Amino acid sequence: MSDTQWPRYQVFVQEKPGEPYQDAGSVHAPDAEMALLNARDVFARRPSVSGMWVVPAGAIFSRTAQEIELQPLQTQDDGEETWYRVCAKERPAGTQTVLMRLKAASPAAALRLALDTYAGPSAPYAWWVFPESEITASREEDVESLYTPAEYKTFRLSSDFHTVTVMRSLGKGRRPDRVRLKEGAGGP
Amino acid sequence: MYGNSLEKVRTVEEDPERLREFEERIRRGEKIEPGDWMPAEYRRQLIRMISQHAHSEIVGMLPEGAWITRAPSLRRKLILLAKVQDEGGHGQYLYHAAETLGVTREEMIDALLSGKAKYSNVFNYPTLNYADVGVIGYLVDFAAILNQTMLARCSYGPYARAMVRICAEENFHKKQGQDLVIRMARGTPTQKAMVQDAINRWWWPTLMMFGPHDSDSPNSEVLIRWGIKTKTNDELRQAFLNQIVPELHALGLSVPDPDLRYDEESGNWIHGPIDWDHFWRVIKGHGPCNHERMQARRQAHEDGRWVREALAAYASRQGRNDAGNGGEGLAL
Repeated sequence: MSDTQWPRYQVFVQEKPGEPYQDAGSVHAPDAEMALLNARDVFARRPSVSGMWVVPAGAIFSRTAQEIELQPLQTQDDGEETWYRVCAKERPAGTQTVLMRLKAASPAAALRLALDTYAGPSAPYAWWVFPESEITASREEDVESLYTPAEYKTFRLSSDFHTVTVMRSLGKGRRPDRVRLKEGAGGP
Repeated sequence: MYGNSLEKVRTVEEDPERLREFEERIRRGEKIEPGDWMPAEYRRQLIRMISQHAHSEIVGMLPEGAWITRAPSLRRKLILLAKVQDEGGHGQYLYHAAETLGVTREEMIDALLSGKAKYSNVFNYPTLNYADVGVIGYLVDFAAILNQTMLARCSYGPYARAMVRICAEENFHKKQGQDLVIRMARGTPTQKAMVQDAINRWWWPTLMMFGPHDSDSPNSEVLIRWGIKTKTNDELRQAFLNQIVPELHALGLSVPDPDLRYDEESGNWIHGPIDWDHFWRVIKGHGPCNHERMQARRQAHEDGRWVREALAAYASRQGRNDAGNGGEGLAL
């Protein structure tokens, strides 16, 4: 019995209010609610996160630039239009970033529209499209309890350890027992 | 914490035109994304490396996790908890990256629990006291950072992105370890002796983490051509030595290698012979803790079963277990 293979949810993270949501990775969970909680443990251990979305991986229509070139998009459907979110990876080493919100009759039609209206500097390397209705978002009132505590855990930031300064003063020939360490909230 | 290229590269007949285009993209510095064409062997090597890397993170929680309840102060306990939690998170990032290549998480976990999959050899050694926490962070995690900084430039997009995230966090792991080693090195004679003893025990396993010498790594050439690796095992090992040896000396600590010498001409620290027979014995399951580590993983998997069942029951009662699977081919 496949007890480890729960559905996969793609996780999008917003670092600060007003910034775009970006792909962070994925989690497996039995439902979207648990997916949001798992996503918090996996992707919000450090500052800063102001919001998260989870989207079922199966609901994401994905095409790389290479795929679009080799196989034209099939967009002849004329069903009812709904809202879609469109993400793109704009730089070779970039991350999928939510760029657009638009109405279309299918994911392929939404992507066609996005390709036609995209005004960025160079053509994106890969696209994701998903219906807005598939998003489960963190709630405003949960942000403080879910994501804010990470901001106070400064001991998990490398900047909390002044080893570079210490090693530099040792390099100048000072004896290790004479170098003053900045004491954190407690010694060893 | 990474997978080595210990398995021979298989040659599969590929469409020469597509292969040429693929290698051209890599030369241009483009990242290969999940929907893109890639040679079967590129996919196979990546699945093997990434899943092995993920297993290493998960198994890597065990040696240090054992000391969480015995931390010498609350601050050290918070640091160690955070570090071990990070390793768990890194395992998740990596399983995710491997999944984009079409392998399922269940297959990977089964391979680990059945003993089929490998993980970094360095975790098959015991942690004897708290100085080991410092030395693992300082030496082992620094070795991992060198490898992972290279992999952050890997040609496969999802792996490279996971590595960027991991490297940032791994830097905390190294520095908390270095901080502890510095404090012990300038502490009481007993503390200094403890940290020296830990270095003596972890030194050789750490040097072995970089894998066999280039002359015994038949895969390196193709892995480098495909941009999976950009440096060889020996190049990484040399970078490690050149950074760490002077630091240990500055701290008044020694390296347990009687043949270690500084080569004026190249500016390199040259290590003595590595006991590769020992390395292979440990990889084949005869290290001091192989059995213990696998037992702990299997036990954890069994102990978590009721939680997985409870969550699945809750989801199905809420009628929300409808997300469906798939999505493997996402262009992440």
